[in-house]
Amino acid sequence: MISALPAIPLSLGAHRVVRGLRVEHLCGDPNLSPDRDWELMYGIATTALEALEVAVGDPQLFQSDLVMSEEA
Amino acid sequence: MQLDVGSFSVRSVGFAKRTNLSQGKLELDKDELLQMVLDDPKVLSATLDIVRPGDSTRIIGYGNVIEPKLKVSGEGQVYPGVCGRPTNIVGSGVTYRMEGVSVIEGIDRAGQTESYPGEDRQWGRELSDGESEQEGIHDRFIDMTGPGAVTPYAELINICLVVTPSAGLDAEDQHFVAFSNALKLADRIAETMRDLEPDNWEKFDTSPHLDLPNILYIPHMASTEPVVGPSGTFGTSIYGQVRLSAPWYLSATELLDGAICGGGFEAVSGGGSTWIMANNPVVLELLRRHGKDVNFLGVIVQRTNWTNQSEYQLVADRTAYLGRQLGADGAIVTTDIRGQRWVGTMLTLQACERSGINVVLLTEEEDNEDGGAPPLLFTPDELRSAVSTGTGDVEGFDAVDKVIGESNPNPNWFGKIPKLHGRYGRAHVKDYYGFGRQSYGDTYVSKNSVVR
Repeated sequence: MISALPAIPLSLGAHRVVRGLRVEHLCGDPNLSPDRDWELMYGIATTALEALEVAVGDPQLFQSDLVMSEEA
Repeated sequence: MQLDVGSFSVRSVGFAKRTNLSQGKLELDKDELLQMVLDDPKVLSATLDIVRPGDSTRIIGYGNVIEPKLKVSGEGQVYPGVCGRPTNIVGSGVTYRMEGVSVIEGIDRAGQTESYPGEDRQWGRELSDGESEQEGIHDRFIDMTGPGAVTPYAELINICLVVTPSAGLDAEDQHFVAFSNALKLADRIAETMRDLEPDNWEKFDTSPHLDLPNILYIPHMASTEPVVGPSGTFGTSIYGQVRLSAPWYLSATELLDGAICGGGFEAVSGGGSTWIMANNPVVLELLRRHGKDVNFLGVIVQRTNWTNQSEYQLVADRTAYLGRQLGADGAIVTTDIRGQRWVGTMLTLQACERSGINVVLLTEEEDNEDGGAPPLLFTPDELRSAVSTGTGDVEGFDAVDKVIGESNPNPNWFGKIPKLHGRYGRAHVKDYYGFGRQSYGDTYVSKNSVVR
């Protein structure tokens, strides 16, 4: 589950939660250049695919380094 | 701050030759009042109707509901900051209010292409189950009679001003025209109180009582900025400011002068707040108990509609920090919007609890829809006590004889409206602050001991 508000899916018990960017544009940012936008999207999608390979028990949050830097 | 509120209890309103208030009887010179509105070159036409509790009437598509108020002494003007009014700090001196009466703002949308302000910039709105068959009536409305007459507005005598703005105005300007003229009308009506003695007085003095528990009120108020930009005229505002901003600290008496108001049409409004926030029972009760069993520190208004969790966390932490600096022992938290905004409310509650501020949540619950939806979208372990105002659910609405708000309303508006399940509490029966005559159909006790 990719979410801009990870608290919700985590509290509802989703096993793998990936932090997205914003409610209106979860996996990219229309304010960025197309290249940078694509890079972000690729980073989030890759994080999600990698999360699928991780065995999880309790709900777990995954995040792309790119997302964190974008928020900072 | 010290604010003396003089209330005039109005028992009847009618049209007459002269605008006048006497012995609880408000008379309105319709021609004078309408002319005042028509003097605005941006108004093409306008209608004025008086709607009373019990009338077989439905008021549709309404915007602000305004309590006529008059600043008799003290700084500023009531409803500060909106529609170009001064932003001087209000909440002290003497204010008169007309109790039991409102001025309701409407825009006749017949023939309008942009029917709601901001419509073309709004996110797409899905119809709830069963709503499709009720074509044309998905708006918010006030029923004055029948099982759906549950809002506080149904108990008021409502003076409804419906304007048709001149052609070529965008929705934003249309709303400015409607709101500013409704305020002008409310000011004129309020003026009738000036030389009279109020029926009763309430004197509020917010000087500290340090021996008593320090209590804060933290309402979350939606901002329209993410949806329609920073300078909207129809969002819920603080001193006219609609922007998504850092937490605001206000004296409770400022709210009684209308410091939080606005909130016009449809979903972008966050439910409309002009009458509601000036009469908020949480504020009034805490003010009345100030110096008796609580020390009411005031109000931290948290704007909401942020769009990711980091932002919500930041404002939650800032609110808790401010609360701690103010010395709060406890806080009551409310919110006027649901969905993802709920996370911000819960993070604030969590941050306050972690700072040693005990929180009671006062809230509507989600409609449980198919029976599977949780009553609250997300609840941290720190949620220890909550008071529910129900699900905003009523058993349908009766057919009515009269519809106010549009010159040519969809015929469905006159008919019976079945029970509509709300996604976040339907606009027409919202009860965020416990005004409530809405039905409390469900019962629910969570693992964290939610009580009702």
